[in-house]
Amino acid sequence: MFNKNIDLGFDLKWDNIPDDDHFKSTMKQVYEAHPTLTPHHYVINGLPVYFNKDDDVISIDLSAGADSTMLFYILASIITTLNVTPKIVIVTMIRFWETKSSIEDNVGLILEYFKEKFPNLDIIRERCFVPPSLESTPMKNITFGANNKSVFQPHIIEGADTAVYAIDNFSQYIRQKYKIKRSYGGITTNPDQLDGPEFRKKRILSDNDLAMYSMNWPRQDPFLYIQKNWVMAQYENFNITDLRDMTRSCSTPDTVLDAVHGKDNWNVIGSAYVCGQCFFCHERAWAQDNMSLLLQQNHI
Amino acid sequence: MFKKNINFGFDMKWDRLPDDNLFKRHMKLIYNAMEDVNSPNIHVVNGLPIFFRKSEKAISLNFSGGADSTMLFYLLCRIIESTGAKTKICVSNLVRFWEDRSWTEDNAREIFNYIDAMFPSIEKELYIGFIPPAMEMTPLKNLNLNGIYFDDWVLENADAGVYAVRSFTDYVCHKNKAEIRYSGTTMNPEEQLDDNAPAFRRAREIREEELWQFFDKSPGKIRDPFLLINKDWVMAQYENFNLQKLREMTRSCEANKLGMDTKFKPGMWHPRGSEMVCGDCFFCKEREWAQQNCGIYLEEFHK
Repeated sequence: MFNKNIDLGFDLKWDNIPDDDHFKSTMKQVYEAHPTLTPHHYVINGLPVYFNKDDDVISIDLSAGADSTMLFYILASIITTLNVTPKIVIVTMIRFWETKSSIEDNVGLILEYFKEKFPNLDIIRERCFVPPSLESTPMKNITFGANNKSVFQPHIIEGADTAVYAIDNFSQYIRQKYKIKRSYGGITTNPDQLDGPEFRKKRILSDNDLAMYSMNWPRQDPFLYIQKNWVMAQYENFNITDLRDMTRSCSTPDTVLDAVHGKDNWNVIGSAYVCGQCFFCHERAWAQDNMSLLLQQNHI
Repeated sequence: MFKKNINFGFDMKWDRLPDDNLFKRHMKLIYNAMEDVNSPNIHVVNGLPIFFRKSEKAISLNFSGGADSTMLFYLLCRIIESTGAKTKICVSNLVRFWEDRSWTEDNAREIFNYIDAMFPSIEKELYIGFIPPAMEMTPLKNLNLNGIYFDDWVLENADAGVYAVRSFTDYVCHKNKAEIRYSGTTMNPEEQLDDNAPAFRRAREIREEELWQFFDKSPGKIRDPFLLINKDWVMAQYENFNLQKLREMTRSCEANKLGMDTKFKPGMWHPRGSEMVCGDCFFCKEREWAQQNCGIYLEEFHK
């Protein structure tokens, strides 16, 4: 199984984890398919994370949630350990602003934290604003022209909403603007026990899925096949519970927070005021309750 | 007619302007309709009344990096400075037509930084938004607007980019609790310069409701001080306030990349400032027209 190959984190004792554990079984599948990772994969507490030292510009989608913040932390740590200085473009989505308070300020505070902890990082911030009506307008209603041809398959145009186009087009713009070599996202797989977003549903991994560990893909989602309990464990392992508490998973509308905490009696900074009812709150609680096997103290 | 009531600029000698001059005609129209001409919230700058309420905590400004919105940005800073207001200016700029036009947000950012350095004590923040290009080709009525109100004429004729701009401005205002939003749209010259002049800016018979936004008592949130004037007045102010360097940082040209490649050869031009422009689009022609016709708004003409 994968062993630590960078001066960061600890070596996981795989025998201390039961075989039916989701993280272990997934990593075993990856290992069996690709026992030799690319030279750009660094094993961080059991998980291979891709970073190419030659990438002079990378982007990270940062929502201020626990997953994307942890991914940023791991990449920042790898970059610092390798003593390289890529430009890091942090991309934040602003969505549903009419019904949900903006997490822009939360992202700002998290970036300040990183700038203090990793003063040598070259960080640039970009915001993608999605006008709310695009989320409910079918993509097929959009008129594509000669200079902005659709890049989508017919079934996506038929089934997706216009926000998908807006976000994809913004990504293209950012890629062109900064000449980004690699972009990163921190999406995880839903826990087995909870009904979450369909696209994050646990599924049988194909050879193509696993090829991520043998190819130099321009898009990297290192957490794509693992669950949030591994992510939450790393806040303890790296001793950054202060950063964890700055992150926000809850994604409920303001009206629900009004009902839970009272109007004008809450804010969306960090995880102090959450609804405790949405999928993301349930997932985070589940992850906290199920992370102990992945803590360093169980691998000494 | 309007008299200077603020500690910068000059007093316009109205009788030196011909009666058929558009600026004079429209200022007369506003002046005669205005009941609150002596309101402390109406600031007359070189003949033009600009509404600004000192008590505002924040205002928003639609800013393209062109000559008009840049001048409005400058004038709002001057008014804030002059009145001692503590108002924050939330400047919103939109990246548009990025796939085929020669615009860049860097130009807007450079101008913002330049004005920021001129008025360091005024709080300002630049918000950069983005319009996916296909929105500008999609009819507004194709969007599921979920009850968002647009005038029937706009709904029928505008594209979805109009909604995107409005939604971004609404967001910036909401975030900063800004009530009043400023925009620097001018009116097209009365003489036909180009077939592609934007229709919504056409020279027209002024409707009574178009005057309301100049009044102190107007309940509207949108303030568009240049709405009834031409660009010649705007360009004159760059001379009056000795801002030629700032003027040259602004960009009016909206040529597409292909047009610029043809004129300057690929890789041999940049889209910053007004150094390299196509000279053929409506906005280039309008700017040239404005430069040629700004003489009667210069301070020296009114001494």
